[in-house]
Amino acid sequence: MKEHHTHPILTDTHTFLTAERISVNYGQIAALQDVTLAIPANRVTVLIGPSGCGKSTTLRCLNALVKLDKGSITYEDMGIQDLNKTDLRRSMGYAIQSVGLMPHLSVEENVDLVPRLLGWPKSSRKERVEKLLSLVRLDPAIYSKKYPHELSGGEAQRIGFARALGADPPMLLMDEPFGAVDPLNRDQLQDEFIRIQRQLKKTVVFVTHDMGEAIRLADFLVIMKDGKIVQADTPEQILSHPADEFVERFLGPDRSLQRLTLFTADQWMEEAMSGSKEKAEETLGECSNQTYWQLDDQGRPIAGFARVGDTISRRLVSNASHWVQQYSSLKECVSKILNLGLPSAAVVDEEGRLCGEVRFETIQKISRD
Amino acid sequence: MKLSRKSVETSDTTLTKRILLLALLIGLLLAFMFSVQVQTLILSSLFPSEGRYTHSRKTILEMTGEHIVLTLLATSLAAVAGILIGVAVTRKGGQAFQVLILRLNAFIQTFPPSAVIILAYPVLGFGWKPALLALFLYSLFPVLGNTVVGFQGVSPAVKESARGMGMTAFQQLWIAEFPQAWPMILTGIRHSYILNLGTAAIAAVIGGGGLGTIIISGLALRNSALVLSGTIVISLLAFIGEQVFLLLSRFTRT
Repeated sequence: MKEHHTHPILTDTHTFLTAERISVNYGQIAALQDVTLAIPANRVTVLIGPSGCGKSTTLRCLNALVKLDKGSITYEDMGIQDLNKTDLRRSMGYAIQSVGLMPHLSVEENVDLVPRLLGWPKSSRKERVEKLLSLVRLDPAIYSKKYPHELSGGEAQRIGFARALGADPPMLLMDEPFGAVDPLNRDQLQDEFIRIQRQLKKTVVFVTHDMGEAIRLADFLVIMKDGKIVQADTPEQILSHPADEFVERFLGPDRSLQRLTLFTADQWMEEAMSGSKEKAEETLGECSNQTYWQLDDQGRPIAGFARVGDTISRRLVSNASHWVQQYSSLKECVSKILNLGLPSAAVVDEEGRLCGEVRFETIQKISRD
Repeated sequence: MKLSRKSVETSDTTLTKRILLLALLIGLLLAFMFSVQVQTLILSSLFPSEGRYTHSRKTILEMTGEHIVLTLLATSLAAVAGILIGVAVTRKGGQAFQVLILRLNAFIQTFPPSAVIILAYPVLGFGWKPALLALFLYSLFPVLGNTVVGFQGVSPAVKESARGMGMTAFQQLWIAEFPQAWPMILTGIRHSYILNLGTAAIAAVIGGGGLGTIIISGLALRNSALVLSGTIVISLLAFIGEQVFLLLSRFTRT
């Protein structure tokens, strides 16, 4: 009988894995001191802190890449020291900043590695690879036969993520997986990660040093310093009640903006008015908190009309950089709203078709709460 | 798209050229090896004043056979031992010995092969055995050195991800590391082969046979035609070996 213990903080889920008073020393240096941590099942736990705080070491303890000097880690009621290390690691996807794709293997062979190690039948493996490549939005027909040196940094990270998901492990360990890509690509990878995580609901442990990324992705946020946990709670709680001065400083001066990264556009999206250019004035009427969107024949926004005092102003929004995706953060919405000077931001689906808008009014309301 | 197709075409044409060159070299070797007329024709046109163009007791064919067997045997032994030792000293447990082994290996390399033969003579006696030992020791260096360099070239990220995804120690070696080190190792084996081909000529000094027999006779008789006769075959074997290794590296490239 497997017992489920409710997670102490995220009460809507159970504890998947527990680290109890673990300590790790590297020679004379104490990398981890007496750390106790419960990883919630099917949620994203983010470990964050300045370099050398022990966040990566903690992660590497979970799949036995680092040996514990003290304490224990319990995984499904078994101590990981009692489990076979290779079996344990195969049951946890592992993605790292430097990706580490095998340069002599094609993309499909790389993604296939863990299923191959587990001895899955060939037919199901081929199917699995195609499914995973589609999941990370890389066309299998184009990418399967490519080699790692033919991929961009962002593409390599996606393959690394697909490979970690290879054998459909219940748990994923990710060590700064988006750390080495440029900011634009990083935002996109985060969007993708959120989309995939909502679909798959894995137990994820994610290490980063980027607070924006941490707040965006975390269900459970663990802030570390000098080999110890300073605060572990939901990002909302940490933002509104930082445990001490260190956490406060680490969160940075723009906490209200950081808070907006907790939400995605689709959570606060409202119905948008759209139609032909001629109807703009009539439809808008006296309404000044909404935008009237002019669409092209595929349903993509071309221009936005807004009432400013007595006049109607028009802004061109024909470029994808003017829109936000469903999984974009509200922080991004604010940035578009300020850039374009419209009362709301256009939310589009994967094909760029308008599916709603996020209003500045709504965002102000959230920030006030 | 266009670019990649072009590069495929050029590599295909170099492949055809390479195979043609190999066939030509083998043809030349066979003609020289099997036909005394061809030998006499070539050597007499270069050295018309020499009285003799063939060895008195052995045919070129016999000597070439002995030479090839000795070279291939020594190269294979060096390859197997070099790779095994190279793998051992790049593993976690063996890394401590790496510097020591490489130094020892470089030290052996400074021994002249003739000295090894003479030192081994009391133990292994007369014939091909001391020659094989000398060649083996002498040609271990390139294989071992390149194996170590090849494994050191595998990126830490690849090793980390191989371990993290749950490969056993053997799988980490065989799936993740060996294929990346292989081109370097193969280059080492090729160097070892070329080295052995030349050095095997000294086997004749202690009755080990090979093409050294005719070269040494030529030197003793001051007959340049005989010296050249052995040298031509050794050079052809070197060229052929070089081409075979290049083809091999092409077909084992993953």
